[in-house]
Amino acid sequence: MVALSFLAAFEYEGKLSRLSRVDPRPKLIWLVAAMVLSIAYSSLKAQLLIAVIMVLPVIALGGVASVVLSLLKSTSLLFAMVFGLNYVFTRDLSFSLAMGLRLVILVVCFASFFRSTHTSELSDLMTKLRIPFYVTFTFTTAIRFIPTLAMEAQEIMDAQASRGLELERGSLLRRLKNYIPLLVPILVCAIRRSYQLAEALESRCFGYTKKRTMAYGLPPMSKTDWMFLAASVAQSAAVILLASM
Amino acid sequence: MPEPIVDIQNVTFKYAGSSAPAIVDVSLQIKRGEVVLVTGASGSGKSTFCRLLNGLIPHFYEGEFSGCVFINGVDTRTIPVYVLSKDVGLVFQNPDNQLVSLSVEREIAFGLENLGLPREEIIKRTEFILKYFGLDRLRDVPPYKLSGGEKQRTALAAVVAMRPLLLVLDEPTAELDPMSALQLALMLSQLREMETTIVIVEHRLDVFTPLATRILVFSEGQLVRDGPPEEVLFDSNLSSLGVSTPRVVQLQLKLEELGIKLPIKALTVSSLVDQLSSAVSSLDLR
Repeated sequence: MVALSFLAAFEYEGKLSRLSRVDPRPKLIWLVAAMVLSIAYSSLKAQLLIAVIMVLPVIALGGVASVVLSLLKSTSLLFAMVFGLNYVFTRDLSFSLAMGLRLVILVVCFASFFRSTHTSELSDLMTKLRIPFYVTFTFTTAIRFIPTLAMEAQEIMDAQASRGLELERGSLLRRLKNYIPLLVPILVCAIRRSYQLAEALESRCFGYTKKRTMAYGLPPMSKTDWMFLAASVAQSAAVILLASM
Repeated sequence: MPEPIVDIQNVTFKYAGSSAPAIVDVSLQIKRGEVVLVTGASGSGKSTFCRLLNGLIPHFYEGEFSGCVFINGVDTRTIPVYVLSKDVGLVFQNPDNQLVSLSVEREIAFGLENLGLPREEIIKRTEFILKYFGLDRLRDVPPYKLSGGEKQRTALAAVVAMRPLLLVLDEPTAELDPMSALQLALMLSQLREMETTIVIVEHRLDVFTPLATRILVFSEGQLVRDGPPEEVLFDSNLSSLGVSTPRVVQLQLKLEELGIKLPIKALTVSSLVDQLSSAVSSLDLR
């Protein structure tokens, strides 16, 4: 379950940190700004500036340092691959390090955002952004059923393992092949579940009216939220200014 | 005489791809305020009966359908499931598949939002239901983090919030431990006091018999018994239909075999104890 332990870094932590109490709107702006800047600039200097000015303060605010460290540990192989491949093809150490750092920034930014934002806040955010309800609903349903499907997959794996299937044995190719017998039951269960979900939705008057009420939504932004937004804008400006010097 | 809330007339249904019909020529009526316990062996047609009540059959399941089902005077063939579900609340066997929202609070509001009720009304009803079902402290918890009992309670609460005329529960204790099953029965007894018409499909008759005003027994798709619990459960041939009668009834049947007949047929342990103690005290043991 290596892949699932990696996903735990993106799981909502509850209202534990100061970052999780910030409205998702300024957090999304911060995330998009950090992401765009990291992709727009390819120099090591710019990536370091983004990491120090934009990412580290948010890690501190989110109190997610230990999570980030474990996340970096689990993505170290990916980081090494990005760095190694870039170095092999470009022979440019600074550029290769920048590309590796870009990956780290992106992963850490997404983890900080998702750890501090409840999925219902995300759906409210999507509604606020005037994304159609069917898109928002599809997104939240997918998020809602990830743990259920993961549990089901684990049960199927346990059932197969108890009948002698060895998943973690042999070469990488062999291990990948070991997973094939799991795919069919997992897929069949997921399809059956989607059918039952459709049945349950109809039974809860889904589609009863075109004017569906959205009873819950994001509250107005507080002073802290506006301060976070202002800080994100200032951080982005500082990165642009310093990177182009 | 008031119109029955459910009126099933000669209904037969065979699922597409199936060789035998799941329901055969079933006719019955259910009046307002009745609590109907539906039982029978696996594959006897109980779940199909549930699906008939909110129009999932014939709208959602393909197959050969004949006869008529009227809910509150409306033919289920003429209106879609999502409209019919306003009057018929169906709680499925597996709560995992019907909890679609990201928190308990939103789950309860989901159906009300679908109905397009005013925001203030939704929040008012949601708050009431959260407290009524003891879910207040779980309001922000995502459904996948709930225990089996909490999931089932949330699923029931979400359906009750929509104030259906008829509440249908398909094997609600299938994933519950005995204590959670008893808690569910207690909640349903409170709903019964609010004059909600309830249909419970269940194997575990011990839990729900004290609530029931009527018991239906299905066997191979046919309705083979229909009557008050005292009449249906004391039928000594019931076990041949794959129905396990409550222990309290089994004990009375054993006593009858021994020639001891109690004046009133007891359906609960406490009423049996009362009867036995009065029978014993009337004996002169000196």
